[in-house]
Amino acid sequence: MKKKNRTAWFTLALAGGPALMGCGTHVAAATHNTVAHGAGKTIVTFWESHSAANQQGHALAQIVKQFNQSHPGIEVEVHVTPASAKALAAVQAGDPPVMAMIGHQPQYGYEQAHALVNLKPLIYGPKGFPPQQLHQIWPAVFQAELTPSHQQYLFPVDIKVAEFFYNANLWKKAKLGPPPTTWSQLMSDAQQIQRQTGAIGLGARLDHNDWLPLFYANGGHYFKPGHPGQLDLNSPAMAQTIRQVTARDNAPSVKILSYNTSFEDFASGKLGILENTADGYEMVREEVGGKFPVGVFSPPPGSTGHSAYLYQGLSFVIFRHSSSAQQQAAWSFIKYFDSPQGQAIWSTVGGEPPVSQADVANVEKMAGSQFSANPGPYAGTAVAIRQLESGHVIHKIIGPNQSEIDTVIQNQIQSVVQHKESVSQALQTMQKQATAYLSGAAVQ
Amino acid sequence: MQENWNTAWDRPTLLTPSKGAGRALMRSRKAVSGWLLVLPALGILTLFTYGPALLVVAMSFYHWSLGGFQDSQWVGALHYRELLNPISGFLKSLSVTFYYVGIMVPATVALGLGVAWLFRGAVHKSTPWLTLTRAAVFLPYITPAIATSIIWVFIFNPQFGLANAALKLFHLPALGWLVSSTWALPAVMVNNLWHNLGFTVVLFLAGLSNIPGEAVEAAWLDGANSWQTFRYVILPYLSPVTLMVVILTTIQAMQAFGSIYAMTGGQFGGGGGPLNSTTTTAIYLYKSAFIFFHYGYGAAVSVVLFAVLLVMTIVQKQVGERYTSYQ
Amino acid sequence: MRLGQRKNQRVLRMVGQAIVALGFLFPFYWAMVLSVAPKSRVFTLPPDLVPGWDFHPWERVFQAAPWGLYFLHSVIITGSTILLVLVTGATAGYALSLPTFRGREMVFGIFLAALMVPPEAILIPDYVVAYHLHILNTLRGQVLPFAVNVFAIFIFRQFFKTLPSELWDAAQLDGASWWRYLWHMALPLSKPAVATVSLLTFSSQWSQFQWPLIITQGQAARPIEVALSYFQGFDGTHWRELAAASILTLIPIIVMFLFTQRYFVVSVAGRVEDRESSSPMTPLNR
Repeated sequence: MKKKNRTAWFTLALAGGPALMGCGTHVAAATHNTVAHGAGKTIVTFWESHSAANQQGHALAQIVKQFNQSHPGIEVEVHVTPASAKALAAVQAGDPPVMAMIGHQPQYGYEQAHALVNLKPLIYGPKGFPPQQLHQIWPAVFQAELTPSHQQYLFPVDIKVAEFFYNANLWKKAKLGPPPTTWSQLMSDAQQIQRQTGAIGLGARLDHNDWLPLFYANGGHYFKPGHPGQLDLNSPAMAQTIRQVTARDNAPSVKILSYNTSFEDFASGKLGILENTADGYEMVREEVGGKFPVGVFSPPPGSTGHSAYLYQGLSFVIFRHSSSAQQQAAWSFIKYFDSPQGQAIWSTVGGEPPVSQADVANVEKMAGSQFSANPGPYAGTAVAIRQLESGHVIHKIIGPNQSEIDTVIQNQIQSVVQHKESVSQALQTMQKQATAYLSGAAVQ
Repeated sequence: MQENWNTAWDRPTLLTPSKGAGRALMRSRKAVSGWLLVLPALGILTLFTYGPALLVVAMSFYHWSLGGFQDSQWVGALHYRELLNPISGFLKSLSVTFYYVGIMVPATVALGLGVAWLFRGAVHKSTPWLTLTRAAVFLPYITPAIATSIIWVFIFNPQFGLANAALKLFHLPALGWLVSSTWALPAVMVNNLWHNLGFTVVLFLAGLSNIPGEAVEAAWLDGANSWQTFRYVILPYLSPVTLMVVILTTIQAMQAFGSIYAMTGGQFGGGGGPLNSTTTTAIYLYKSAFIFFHYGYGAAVSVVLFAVLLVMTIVQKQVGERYTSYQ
Repeated sequence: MRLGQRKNQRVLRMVGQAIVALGFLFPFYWAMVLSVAPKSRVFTLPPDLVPGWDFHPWERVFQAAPWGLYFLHSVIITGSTILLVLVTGATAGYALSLPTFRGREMVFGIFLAALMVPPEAILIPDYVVAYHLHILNTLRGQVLPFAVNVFAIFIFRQFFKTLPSELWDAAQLDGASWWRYLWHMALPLSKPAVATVSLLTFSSQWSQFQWPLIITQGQAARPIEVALSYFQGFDGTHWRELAAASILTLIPIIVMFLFTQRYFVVSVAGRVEDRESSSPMTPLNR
């Protein structure tokens, strides 16, 4: 090292370290989560978790672009971030975005942190929704957005309901008739697919989105009727659910797939039926790439005679941390998203059912004659709409330590599936452990 | 926070002060400058290592809120009682951790030594061929765990992965790997063995090249066969390196995070595998504090993890030193 | 006869070495094949191991996220950490090598104590500290906790101790102060130590995952590894894109390694070698 060089290097080291970090702060500042204004515009940072490479991501980008063009004073900035998990940490760090799309269960934590804007004044205010329009939003969905104390922090946007997809080629090869309408029919169809084609019959999931609807369709209750706050897991309905899952998952024609890998398995043509949700239809079709037609059917009913369609989507939230101008701007974006033009893009490009019944006609019109074709490009949306119309829609439980409780139940079911425990042992353990979590006796 | 470089610099030899002659000249001035010079380092360490090491103990007795002590609620030993409660899953996480460490350490030593033996020869004076092949073995070690773990997720895909394709080649039944509560952790182990073995190999290579050739030759002349030479000459020479490998691998394995996170569903809520089969204490700690936001409880987990690591290292050193011969 | 046997053995060993080396490289190769596989050839049995040179996945990866921004974040974080570790390491290491520094052994012990604290155990209190310093979700927050590395201090101390004392005496005769000696004489001679510390900091900091995962929320300070992990979450179903993204984040470190692998290996190996009598950095002097 020449002497001059050296001096230069050390000056750089001394000044450069902090300076580089400072430069980082500038980079950070430019994209800081809640910078209020830029070039005379109200900036609305919006965290959402659909990949820009997916259909929903495309639809969202299209809606945001149209909104930004038609609202010159507002700039909505989409940041692809695991918002449900990360926004709460951002709130605690004092640096949340203006708005986000989060799941229902995380809502509890946000409510505890007093982080969210109460949407009621906006919904029912002068810039809100007229009553007749509000009543058109799927009632079960709208109901699910309210907290137990009837506050409203969520506004529906991404509506997922459970669906089964089937490979129509394998279906034909196995000489199967119309899609199954009972569980035993579904199981025998899966068996026949495997016997006739050598493919796996049914790819099932391993999470709480799987057992919760079965539990309800079998007449189960999360809380004892009339005793809110008291769990009712040690019940005949749960016993039946566990037996059902155990029989299903141990059947030779059934394979448990992780959500992540199930799409490829299906797209490869080696899987007959795939348990999934409405928003997966576009993704699956994309993955399949036209190699075979993909049909859709709804989960069959349980012992109550009807199904329980689990609504497990994401909802809009606005954070209190932001300025009132930003909150107003975010609200106008939500309104735009739920307007007929926003919903038409969301449903036809993104493959999701519309938020409101009123938009169904619009979506149908845009989809044209193809709308009710099954298999067909809009089959996922059409089946989801029928589920929403049925009124048998349930939603996730919201409360303290809910993730822990769901994990407890999930683990107990799996213990039975893997023959590590008897059904009655599992029922007792899950009731006991879940109660401990609910009462706060376990983990504060 | 001390990023572990997995070096052996905490060896006692370093504690020996240098024997340089003292200089009376300018002593007082230099004493001051000595303190000035270590001040930046001490300050940052106080902020991010010493302070937190004390804070974590205090936190573990509180229902901790980010606001600080005044916003937090004293709960006494509640969190520690909770740790012992089987419902909490902490004890299960410890057993998963011990299972993981119990396989990883012997496997790393055995494979590391085996591969080093295959690539033996001086570390610095090597042929281009040796340099190239050794670099290939070492390469995974410097790659970020997330990027390479994603590749291993493909390899362990139950339908189209290479792992099951290989099993099929030998007419073995296909396994569920990452979706199986039995095989998820072994799959993670394979990834981490591949990822970290290069480090161990380099250590053993250095250890091997330190063995004087005369010692081996003498053994040959005495009529020892190759196993005897290995067992009675080479292994004793390698014992200090082996002890070092054992300790470092244990520390590394106890804190493994990225690979388990990426391979067993971290991006969908913290990770930990089917039936918590890959929920090691490190994953459990992360989920407690940063998924469920129970900071105080997480602190109690940290304290126990700290203690377990400390005890294990001390025991390993004590037991190890007894069987170690420094030549 | 004997010669032939030996040659056979050597060939056998080289074959073994080649197999092991290729085995270690294989996962990288397969990821590369996947990232350029035509759609029809991703999900096949047995897996297809011949590249198909379809670059669509790469296009989609580049559209999916602002990788350039995340890459820049990682470069800034790693670069600043290296500079700070060098500065704090060299100054403290120098102090510890001074025979006249009275508190030397005590300070040495204090530094040693830092190595006893496993990073995992202080993750949560570090988060609390970062919260109170208002450095959550910043690049600073990813640099400061790693700005001191005790190993670096020891490496510098060890190196400075090996410098001949005549150097110091000569400097004093010239009336040079300690810092002139450090900056103008000691440091220029310790290029090997600087190289080792830089490389080790680079590889540990570039691979950093858990801490940035915890302290970053939006994309404002997100480094590339965290971005990749999120991409896995959002796009886990797209093998080809995911493989392409993995390789994208691997390229910088692999290129870096190709140029410096000799030093990397030696930096690690140096630990085992005789540490008292000669400098651990001797190999780097060659």
